[in-house]
Amino acid sequence: MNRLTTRVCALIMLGWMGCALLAPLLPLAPNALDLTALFAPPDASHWLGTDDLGRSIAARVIAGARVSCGVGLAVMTLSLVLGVSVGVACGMAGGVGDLLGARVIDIFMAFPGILLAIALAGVLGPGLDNVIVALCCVSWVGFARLARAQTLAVMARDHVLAARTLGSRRGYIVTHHLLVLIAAPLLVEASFVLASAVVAEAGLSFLGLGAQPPLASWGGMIRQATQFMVVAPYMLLGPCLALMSLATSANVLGDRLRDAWQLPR
Amino acid sequence: MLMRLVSRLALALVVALGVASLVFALIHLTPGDPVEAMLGESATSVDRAALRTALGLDAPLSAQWWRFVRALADGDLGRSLASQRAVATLIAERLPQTLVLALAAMGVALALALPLGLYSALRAGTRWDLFTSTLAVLGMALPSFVLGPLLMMVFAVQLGWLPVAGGDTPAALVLPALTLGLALAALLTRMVRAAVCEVLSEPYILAARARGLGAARVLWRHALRNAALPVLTVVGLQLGALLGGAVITEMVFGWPGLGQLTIEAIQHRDYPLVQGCVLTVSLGYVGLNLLTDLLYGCLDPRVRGL
Repeated sequence: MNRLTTRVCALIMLGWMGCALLAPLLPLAPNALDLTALFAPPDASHWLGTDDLGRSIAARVIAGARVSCGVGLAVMTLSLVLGVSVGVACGMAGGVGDLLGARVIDIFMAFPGILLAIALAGVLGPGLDNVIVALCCVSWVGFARLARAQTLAVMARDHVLAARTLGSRRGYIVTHHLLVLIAAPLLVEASFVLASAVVAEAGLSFLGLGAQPPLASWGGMIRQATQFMVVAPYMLLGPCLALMSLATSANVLGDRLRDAWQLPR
Repeated sequence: MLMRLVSRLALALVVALGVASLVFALIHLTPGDPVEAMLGESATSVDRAALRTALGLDAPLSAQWWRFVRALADGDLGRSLASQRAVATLIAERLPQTLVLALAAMGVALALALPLGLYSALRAGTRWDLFTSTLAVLGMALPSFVLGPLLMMVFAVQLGWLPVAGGDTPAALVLPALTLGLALAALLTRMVRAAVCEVLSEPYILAARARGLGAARVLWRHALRNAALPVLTVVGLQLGALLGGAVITEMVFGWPGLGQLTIEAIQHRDYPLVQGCVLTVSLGYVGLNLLTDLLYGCLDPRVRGL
């Protein structure tokens, strides 16, 4: 059962990533208006129906994967690099530097994430670049806290002491002894960050702060669907299922990795 | 105990000052000129200079920061640019609504999560456990802007049992509280299950059973009291997160709380109001974290000595 779930989730994840990569190559017309087919319910030619401008919802869901996966992966990668750099630097520095770094991490942890992202995106102005910046400002701190704690633990181990005694340089210790040992928990955290970044991007686009029309994005489509909920409830179905399937898959895969590597919860 | 209290308070103060400075930086260091945004492109340079002086934006940044922190210590959050009213007053008008929503959502979450989590822990590994775990994972990935419209469609539009939006009647509270509460219930159910499972595997539970205590007594007297501690921490943290996390739900249901005020302020480019809203919620979050931390110490003798 567990194996099956893991495989299904991995397939869903790969499927959406594939859509994101291949969307521009597929014969889709996510922005093509068809004024003869406004609010068409799902049928053979429009699998998920059409929206208020006659655009195919299925095509827009597939095209929207590009925004969700793109923003999710960008936020995950950038905040991983930033957070791990800060966390490892704090843990290696020790003393006053570490103390200061730890307080900065505390301060960022003290913000309810989504509110900071909303305020930042609002102040920076709408657009996907700003969404990525805003979400990175929120997400890096989780990596930093984890990397710092892990660095402190690994640096106290005997083999690191041995390496230092042998005269290994700091850079060598970080790349050859530290990063390989702390990679597992960081990867697990990365999958959770991916899931929350995808949901947060959709939330910001829902509020009108993310992807701007006519660009297809799941959050923007949900926002649009809620306006026509009474006449065309099926408009909600596609983007909602897409968003939930991607976010759930990333979360479940993170859970499975953590269990497989026997990390603490 | 006193040392712990003092050190935690001092730490919370440092964090609060850092949070305030970060919010200040958010408004003052981000690209884009607030004066330009407020007056539009047609304004003359004289108008701009006048507004700049009126807002105190012509002073050096460090002087502006110091004035901001001193005003904050007096509880002065400045004036809204859009309505010219004190930001503190505007926030005080909306805060109770958000608090009511957050508490109602927490009530919903606890009412669901405590029995479900406990039952799953006692039936760990069974189909029922698998079922609730799956439901919890799905529920955690269900964002408020998906669940909210779905609930609205079923209970307000199709069935007509509850109002679609607004914040005037108690009935209007039901759907937003459910929207926030269900997602939280998913998280808490997992927490309760994990906490009870962990406590049940402790040696003192085995010892209590070996002494011949009944199952119910072991559960109530020995297991639940100890399982309550980690759950309490999460409840405290999540209550703080609800203050900020309610933004989207408030927008979906038109609930006149702090979240809606924040979005309105962002839309009007009302920077002092954005600053005040983010600051209020963040400081509330810091305060709740501190309270949870201290409460934890009171309840768990093992933490007291730290």
